[in-house]
Amino acid sequence: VLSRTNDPYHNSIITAGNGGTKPTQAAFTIFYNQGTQKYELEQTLQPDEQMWIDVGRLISEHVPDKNGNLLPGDLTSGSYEFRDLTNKHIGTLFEGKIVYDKTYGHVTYGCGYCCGYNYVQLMRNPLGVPLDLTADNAVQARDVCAGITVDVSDAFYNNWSTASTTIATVDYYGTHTGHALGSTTSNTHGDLPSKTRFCPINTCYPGGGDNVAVMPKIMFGGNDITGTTQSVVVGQQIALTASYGLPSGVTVNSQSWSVPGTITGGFVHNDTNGGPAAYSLTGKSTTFYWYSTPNYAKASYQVTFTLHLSDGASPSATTTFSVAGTSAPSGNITPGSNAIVSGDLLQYIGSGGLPGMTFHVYLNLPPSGYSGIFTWDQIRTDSWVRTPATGSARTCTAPSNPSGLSTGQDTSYPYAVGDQTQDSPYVSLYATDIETSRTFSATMYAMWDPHLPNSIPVPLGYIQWNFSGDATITNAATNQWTLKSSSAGSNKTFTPSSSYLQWSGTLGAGEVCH
Amino acid sequence: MRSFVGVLLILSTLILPVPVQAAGGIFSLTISMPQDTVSTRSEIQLMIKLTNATDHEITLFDTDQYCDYTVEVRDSNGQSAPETEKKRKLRCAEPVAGKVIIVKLKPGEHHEVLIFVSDLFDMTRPDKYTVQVAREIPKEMGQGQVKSNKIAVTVTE
Repeated sequence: VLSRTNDPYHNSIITAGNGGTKPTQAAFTIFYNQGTQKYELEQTLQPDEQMWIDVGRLISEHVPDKNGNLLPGDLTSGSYEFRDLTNKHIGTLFEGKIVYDKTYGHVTYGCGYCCGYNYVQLMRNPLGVPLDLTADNAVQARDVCAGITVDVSDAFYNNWSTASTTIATVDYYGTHTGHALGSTTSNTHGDLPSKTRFCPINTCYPGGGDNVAVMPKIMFGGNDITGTTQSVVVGQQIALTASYGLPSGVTVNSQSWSVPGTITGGFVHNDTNGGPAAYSLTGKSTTFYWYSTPNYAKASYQVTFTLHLSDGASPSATTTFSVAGTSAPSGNITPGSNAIVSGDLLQYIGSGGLPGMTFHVYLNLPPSGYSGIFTWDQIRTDSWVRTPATGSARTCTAPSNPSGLSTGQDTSYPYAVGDQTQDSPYVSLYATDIETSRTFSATMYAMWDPHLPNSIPVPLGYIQWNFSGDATITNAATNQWTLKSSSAGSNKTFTPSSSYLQWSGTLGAGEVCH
Repeated sequence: MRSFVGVLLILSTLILPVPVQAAGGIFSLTISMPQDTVSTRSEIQLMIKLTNATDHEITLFDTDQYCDYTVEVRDSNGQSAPETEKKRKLRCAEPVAGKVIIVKLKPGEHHEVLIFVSDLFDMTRPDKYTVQVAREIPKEMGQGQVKSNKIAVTVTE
């Protein structure tokens, strides 16, 4: 890293060259306005190539930097920095500055200085290494110029070793593998520029302890998420597997997961069974879904996997999930009424051919980053009585699976998708009858699905609605009917709810009378 | 017993008259899946987008998506995938009562429907399947059938 303070920008040319034998990426940054703002350029330099930066021209010609920023026209002072992005530790850039002073004819030259490292040490000491599994270690050091601790592991590659390869081994990159329970040490070495003047190259020898133990890991999507925080959303499938090794002679008595929050094992939706599914938290793997969060807001849950071993030990692993909620749902409806349509249909419908009942659902602030969809499903209780001109009245219901139900899911799942849906249920009227009366009640459920692979819908709320109607025939020859009476219930408001709908049968279209 | 097609014809004539169009130009169907590769244990979702392809408002009536649309699934050999019990038991003819969703679409507007293809066809055998759906054009709109694009889904172990 090269850094320097510069006074008069105008008429100054700042240069940097690549003194190495390979191309390098050079970053040039001007800090101004007391260091609160910066102007950044990047350029690839071939060996022996130089970049020339005319600061006065950048200002006067309003040249934007890589982020589109411009230098202020009245800028007169600040500082600048060159950074070798390719060779982070021992750079190949050399720097120069030329100031043309037209008044006095001076030409001055200045050179940069390097920034070294101190406090070189292992990132994790001691390092916990799971038996039969791996754990990464790294090397960190303090960048003297920037005043921050940075990862310098690549300077220490291929130099790692452990004192006892029976207990643990370590590879090129510092990844340790536990082979036997116990403790050992590991070391590495690498060259870094030191913090003293002119940055002489020092060989550093960081080292530390390694403790090999039975340490389960929690895997999610093929990744080790132990000790991390994962961002997920309600309805997203959470399939976790524990990974661990055991010493010879030790067995697992039991293993379990602790999962706070409101979860389900899935959402079942076949004709004869619908609703939340069971889940198991007593195996090496578990699959579940969070389906609601307090106040529909983001919630943080710590999941723990615990092993109970035959030697009495109970090692565990934890991970944290940040679960995005749906945000608060709301909804409204537009009701219709019973009517005789085209002379021989008893239908719940709106005026002018509009739907009988229209349902809308909204989310206050849908979870960002998800192309979620609303899904609807309805539980219907429905029957009607047909009274013929002669003979006994027949009570009819929709055909159901299993048969004989008057309550069930209304046709197939889902009833509909989208932020609104509707229903205009009807019954055909027959010329052989003189009166038909119908009693209908239903609960329409709104759900939201994040629309991710293997995701499920989560409940938002429901609307209960009902009506009854009675029609009598006016002309059997032409099968013309009139509405004798009609009533509609008043409970037609959206009720937010985090409870799933459930069903044990499905009603189809048509009728079964007896 | 009267057919439900007849019921809908009356509804659309008396309540929601629509101009007659030549078959095939009334609406278009586009299908998509959230994933093009699924495991044998996963359900297979199919989103159907029906778009008004005319220059005027059209009205359709949805009853049950598994009756409103015909789904065709073929394996990599071009053979129809085995039907599930739900598909075999599906009764779509002559309804006289039930749910109706009135789908009114202005020119260019669309309406979406979700179908679980795996509820209709046994796709548990790993293979590359081709899926296509079709919908009948109502008589008052000229009759005929509109077919969707074909999409492929790979089922793996």
